Amino acid sequence: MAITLEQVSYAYDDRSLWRNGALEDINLKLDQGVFAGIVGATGSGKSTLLQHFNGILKPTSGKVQVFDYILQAGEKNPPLRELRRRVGLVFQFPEHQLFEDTVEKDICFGPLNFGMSKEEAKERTSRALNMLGLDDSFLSRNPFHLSGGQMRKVAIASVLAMDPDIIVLDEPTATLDPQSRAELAELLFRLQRDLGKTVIVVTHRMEEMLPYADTWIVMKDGRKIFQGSKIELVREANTLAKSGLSLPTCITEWNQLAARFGLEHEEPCLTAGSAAVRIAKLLTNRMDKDTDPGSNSTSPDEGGEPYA
Amino acid sequence: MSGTENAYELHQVSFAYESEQSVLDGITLSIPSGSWVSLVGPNGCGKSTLAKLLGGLLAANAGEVVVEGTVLNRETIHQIRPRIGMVFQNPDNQFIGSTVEEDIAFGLEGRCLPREEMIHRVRKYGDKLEIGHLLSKHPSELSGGQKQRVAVAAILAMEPGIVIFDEASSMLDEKARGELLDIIKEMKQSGEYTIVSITHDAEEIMYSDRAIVLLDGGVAADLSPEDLFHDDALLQSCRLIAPYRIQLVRELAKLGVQVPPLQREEEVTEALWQLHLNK
Repeated sequence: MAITLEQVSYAYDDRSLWRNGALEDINLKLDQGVFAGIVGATGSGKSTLLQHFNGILKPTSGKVQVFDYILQAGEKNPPLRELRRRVGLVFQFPEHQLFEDTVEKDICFGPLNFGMSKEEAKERTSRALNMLGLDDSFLSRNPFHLSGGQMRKVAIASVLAMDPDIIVLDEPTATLDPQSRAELAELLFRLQRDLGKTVIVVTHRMEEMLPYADTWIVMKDGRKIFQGSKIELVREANTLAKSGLSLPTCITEWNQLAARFGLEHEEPCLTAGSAAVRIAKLLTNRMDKDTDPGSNSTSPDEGGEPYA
Repeated sequence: MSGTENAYELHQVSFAYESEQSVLDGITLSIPSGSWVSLVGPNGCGKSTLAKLLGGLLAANAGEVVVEGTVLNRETIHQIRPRIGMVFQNPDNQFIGSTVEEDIAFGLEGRCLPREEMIHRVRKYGDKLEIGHLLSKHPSELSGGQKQRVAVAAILAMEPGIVIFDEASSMLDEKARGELLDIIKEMKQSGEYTIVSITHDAEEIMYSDRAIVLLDGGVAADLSPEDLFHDDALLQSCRLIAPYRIQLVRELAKLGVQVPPLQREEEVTEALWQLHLNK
């Protein structure tokens, strides 16, 4: 188990008149190597939750366990340095954390800080940058002269350069162009699939992570109101929408199709390509049936092969 | 302003922050008054720089920017600037007042309007943007979407004829983004504004009149949103992705399922169901 939360609550300004409960009684288990998506309205506690994963915040009640590190309300924290290297956190607007005068120095800062040699830090810097689709010509450039999207990529590279086991990202794709967003989602997927990293992403755009995330968590008003697989998420979609979750078109479209054509029990097709194949099959099946004089069925096709 | 006039005419406009790397190179385009134009292109293509040139925040190194018939330069900027309002990306970076009311009034104070007029406009545009109940709030009490509404109210209160949105919805959540889109639609419908929106949002581009595609500092295409989303090569090069419903209809077409042309908000499901029934 990579991350376990037991009855975790967190309040800003706890024990003051302005106590502001941000997390209420969260129980959560995330296995090592999962790709998890966290969604919920603004102010639902997503960012507060993330900051418990590497000990930036300590629960005001309950217990957080990440690997062997236990952070418990009312007890002294263990040394957190190694935990912070193993859990890389990419904050919202990571470009605000850029501070050096070249991209290379900026990305090297983390690895050097955690005691790596200069050569190793430089090698990792170049590798991390390439992973984000930026070539070595960026190394000598001033990060503040880059475009917003490029700055975002450099900032993400600086976390990847530390080679964390768990990568936690808070809204990493906001302000990137649509294809860069898709590429970043795919990069995260490769890190999870090929290198066995645990990836946790807070997102406002569910559709971007839907092809990859196998676990979904929905937050509302500081509480976890849902945790489950993609299929469960799609089935629960209408209920979740009623509690304020905005759904991407691919889910609403599939659910409409499923309701119309009676496909509720199938694996949802959440890409335009897979949904089109499924529908085309329905329509052609129907045509085949019509040529059969014995068939006058008006019920939708059942038991079609599921398409992923 | 008469409807036939162009809000913008750009002739061979170039710009560079540092002399060796030009960001915009020989841009020529025109934007008619009252239209809604999307400015699209990949990260780093010069969109935001162009927005700043259009807003008069940067001056072109070469070429000419003509705003509503007047050439933009050091002499005319003071007369042109009040015609243009800009809404930027980050809601936190454009909040000046310590309450919503103060924030909307800030620009009006700069215009030296009489107190009664300021009060009137704060109320009028506060109500229009549905933030009338938030006027006494501190920015930290607002959500990102609410802050962007305040930013739009503050801009519209100055009654500009041209409003430039520089990725104004990109930091908002799904719901707030839909709301901002509704606001822009209403602005378009009122006919009082020329709207230039820099955006990656497929939905938003679909609703605009026209898309100008910027690539490597130049205009790569100037076309209708429908044409843009049916041009794979262009989508690829400006790193856009078509709206899901268009993707679905196109994927179906590849498989030989022809869905009749859909209006923007019509449901694909219903069209397919009809097809299913009629077969």
